[in-house]
Amino acid sequence: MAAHHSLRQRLLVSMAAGFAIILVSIAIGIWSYARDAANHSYDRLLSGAAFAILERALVTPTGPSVEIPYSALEMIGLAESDRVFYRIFTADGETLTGSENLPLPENYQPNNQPEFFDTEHSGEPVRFLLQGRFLAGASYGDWIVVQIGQTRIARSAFAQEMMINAMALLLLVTVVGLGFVWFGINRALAPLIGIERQLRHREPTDFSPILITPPREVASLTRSINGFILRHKKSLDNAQVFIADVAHQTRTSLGALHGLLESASRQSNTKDTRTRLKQAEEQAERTIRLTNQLLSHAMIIHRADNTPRERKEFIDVIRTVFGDIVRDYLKYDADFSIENELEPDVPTFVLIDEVGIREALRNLIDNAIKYGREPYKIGIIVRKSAETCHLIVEDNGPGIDAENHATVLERFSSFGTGSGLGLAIVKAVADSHDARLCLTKSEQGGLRVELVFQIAGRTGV
Amino acid sequence: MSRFSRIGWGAVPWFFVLLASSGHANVQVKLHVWSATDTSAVEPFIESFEASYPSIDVVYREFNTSELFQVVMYNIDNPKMEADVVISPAMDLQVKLVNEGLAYRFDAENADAIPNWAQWRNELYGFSFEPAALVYNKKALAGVKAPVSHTDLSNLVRDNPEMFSGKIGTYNIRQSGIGYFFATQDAIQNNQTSRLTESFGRAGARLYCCSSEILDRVATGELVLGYNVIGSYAIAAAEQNPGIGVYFLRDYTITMSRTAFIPNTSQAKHQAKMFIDFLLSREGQQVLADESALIPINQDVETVLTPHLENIPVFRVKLGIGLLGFQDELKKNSFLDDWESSILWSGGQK
Repeated sequence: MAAHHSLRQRLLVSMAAGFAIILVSIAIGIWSYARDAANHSYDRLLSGAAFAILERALVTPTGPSVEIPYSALEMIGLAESDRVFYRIFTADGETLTGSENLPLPENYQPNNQPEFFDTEHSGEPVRFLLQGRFLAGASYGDWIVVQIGQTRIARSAFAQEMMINAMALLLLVTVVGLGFVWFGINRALAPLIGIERQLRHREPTDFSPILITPPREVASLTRSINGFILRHKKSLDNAQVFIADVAHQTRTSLGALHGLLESASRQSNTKDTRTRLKQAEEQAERTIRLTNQLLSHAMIIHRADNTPRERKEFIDVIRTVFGDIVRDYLKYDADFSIENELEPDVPTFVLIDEVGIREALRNLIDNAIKYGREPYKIGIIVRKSAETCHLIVEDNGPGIDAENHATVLERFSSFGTGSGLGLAIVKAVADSHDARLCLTKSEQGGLRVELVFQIAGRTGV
Repeated sequence: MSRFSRIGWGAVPWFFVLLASSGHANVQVKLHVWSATDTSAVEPFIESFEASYPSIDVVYREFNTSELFQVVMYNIDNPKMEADVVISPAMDLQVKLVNEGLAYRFDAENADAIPNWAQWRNELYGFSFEPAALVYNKKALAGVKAPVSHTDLSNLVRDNPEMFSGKIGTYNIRQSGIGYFFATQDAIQNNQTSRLTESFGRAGARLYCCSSEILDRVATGELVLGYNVIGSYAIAAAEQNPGIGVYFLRDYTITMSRTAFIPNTSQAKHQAKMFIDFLLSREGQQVLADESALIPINQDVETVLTPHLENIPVFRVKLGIGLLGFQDELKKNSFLDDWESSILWSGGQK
C-alpha cells in the first residue's frame, strides 16, 4: 500500500478544484456581462445627449448651426469623473463646433443610427458615439453629425463594482458549499469510523459480527469484515478441536503402547512376551502413522490457506507424485496400474499444489493396503471431460457402505483400526483445490475415490 | 496686463538656517504659480507657505482669467509655459483645461475637507468660497429700499434712471472669464436675467475687466452699483473703505470656488503638490481666513462671510462636464452677441 491517503482530503481537494473551475468560468462570464451592462448604461447617457444636441440643430441663413443645450453636457456629466469630447460636423467634414481632432472610424458615412466605438484619445481609452441627422432648410439639405466621446472611468468602475459584488457572493457560496462538502464527507465517513471504533474496543475473544447498519457503499466492506471474523473464528475453532483431538489420539495411542509394553514385561513366558512385544511394535507403528497423518493433515490445512497453487500439466504431476510414493510400497504384494485416458498431444493444465496431491495419493494407497488384503490391486486413472479433469483411485479392499460415505470424510471417524485421518486429509486436499470428492464402489468391490478438478484455461487463472 | 511679482521674503534667511542645521546642500526650488487672483489677496498665504517650506521659492504671476486660460490652453508645449500651479476663479475655464487632459492627477492630502462640488477628477481642487456680490456706494444709495431679488433689482434700476444712469459697473464678459462665468450661471439659474441685463443697458452700464476696478470706482462714487463682483474682494474692500456696501440678493447667490491644478508639464510636481496640500490644509485655510482677502472653503474655519450669507440660498456651482456647455464656441458667441445687444442697447459702453 502506498502512502496514507486521506479520503476526506481527496474529496475536499477535488470538490475545491471543481468549485474553482466553476468560479473562473462564471467570473469570465460575469466580467463580459458587467462590461456590457456598464456600456449599456452609459451609452444611454451619450445617446440622450446626442439626441438633445441634434434636436437643436437648425439651418440658418449662413448654413447649418447648432446650439448645444446646457442639459446635454450636464447629462453626460452624471459620469462624474469622466472627461468628455465632442464635435459637431457636416457631411463634408466641416467642423461646426467642438474639438477638431477627434478620431473617426474608417469610411464613416453619416446616418441616423447611433454608432459606438472605443479608441484611445488624449491619453485615455474613450468610448465614442456618432449619430447623424438629415437637416433640410430652404436652400440646404445635408447630414449633420454629432460625435461625443467619454472616457471609460465610470464604466470601468461600474463594471468593477458589479464584478466585485458578484465575485464576493460567489466566494461566499463556494465557502458555504465547501463547508457542506466537509460536513457531508464527515457524515459519509461516519460508518467507517464506527466500524473502526467497534473493532478497536473489542475483546480478543469476541468474534461477534460488527453491529452496524452500513450504507450500501460500505455494506460489502462490513460483510467482508464479518466474513473474515467468522472464518477466523472457524479456523480458531478448528485449531482448538484439532489440538484436543490430537492430544486425545496421541494420549490414547501412547497409553495403549504403554499398556502393551507393561504387559509384555510382566509375562513370565517368553512366547507371551514376544506376542505382547509384537503387538507393542504394531501399536508403535500405528502411533507413528497417526502422528505422520496428523502432521500431514495440519500441513494440508495450512497450505490451503497460504500456498498459492501453480498451473501445471495434470498428468505430469500425477506421474511424478506416484513415482515418489510407489517406492514405499515395494515391500507389499501390490499391483499398481495407471491408466491415462487423456489425449496424448493435448496438455491439460490444472491449478494444483503438488505436495497436497502427494499426501492425498499416499493416504489413498495407504488405506487400500491397510484395509485390503493381498494381493492388492490398486488402479489410478486420469480422465478428462469438457471442463473437468478426474483423478480416480480404486482398490479391491472391502469398500465402504454408501451410508457411511459422509462420515468417513470427517476426522477420526474410522472403522476398525484406522486413525480416521486418511480420507479427512484427502477431503482437505480436495477442498483446497476446489475439487469435488466422490466415493463410490469400485468394480472389484473395493472403494473408488474420484477427485474432480477444474481445468485451468490458457491464462492460467 | 500681466505683471511679474517675485515674492521671496523670508525664504533667504530660512535657507541659511536650514543649511547650517542640516549640513547638506539644499537646492532652492522655484515654484511657478500662475493665477488669476489679485496678488495682494494671496501674498500672505504665499509668505506663510514659504515659511513652512523654506526650500521652495514661489514665483507668482498674475493674469486675468481669460488670458490665463489662453496661455495654458494654447501654449502647453511651449517651454516658456512654466506654470507649476494654475489658479483661477473661472471654474468653467479650469474644467475645460482639465478636460483637455492637461492636468496632473494626484490625491490631495486634505481633499476630505473640501466639499464634493469643489473638486474634480483628483486633478482640480477648489480652495475658496466666493459668492457673487452686489457692491454699492453707501452714501449715494442712502435711503433706497434694498432689493430682495434680481427682478427687484432690475425694477429698481428701471424706475430710478436719474440715480443709476452711467453709474452701474459690471464685468465686460467678453474680456473677463469670471464675468462670463457669472453671467452664464445667472442665465442658468434665472430666466429673467435678460431683463436685468437690458435694464443695465438702458441705464448705460459701464463694463470693466476686473473686480478691483469696479470696487475702486464705487469707492469714489463714480459708480453707485457694482454687479456680480467677487464677494471676497468686495468684503475686503468694504473693510478698507466704509463707504462701500456689500449686499447679497435674497433669491439666490451664485457661489464659485477658486480652483487650482498642476499642469502635466510642470517640472516641480512634488513642490506643486505640497503647495496645493498646504492650500487645502487646515493651517493654509486658516491663513486664507485670517490674513488674506480670500474666504476659505473649509466650513469649519470661521470666516468674515458667515454673517453676510445667513438665510440666503447659495447656489454652489459644481465642477464637472456641465460647465463646458457655455464654453462651446457657437454657444458662447451667440450668448455674447445676445448679451452685448442687451447691455449696449442704449449707449452702454465698454
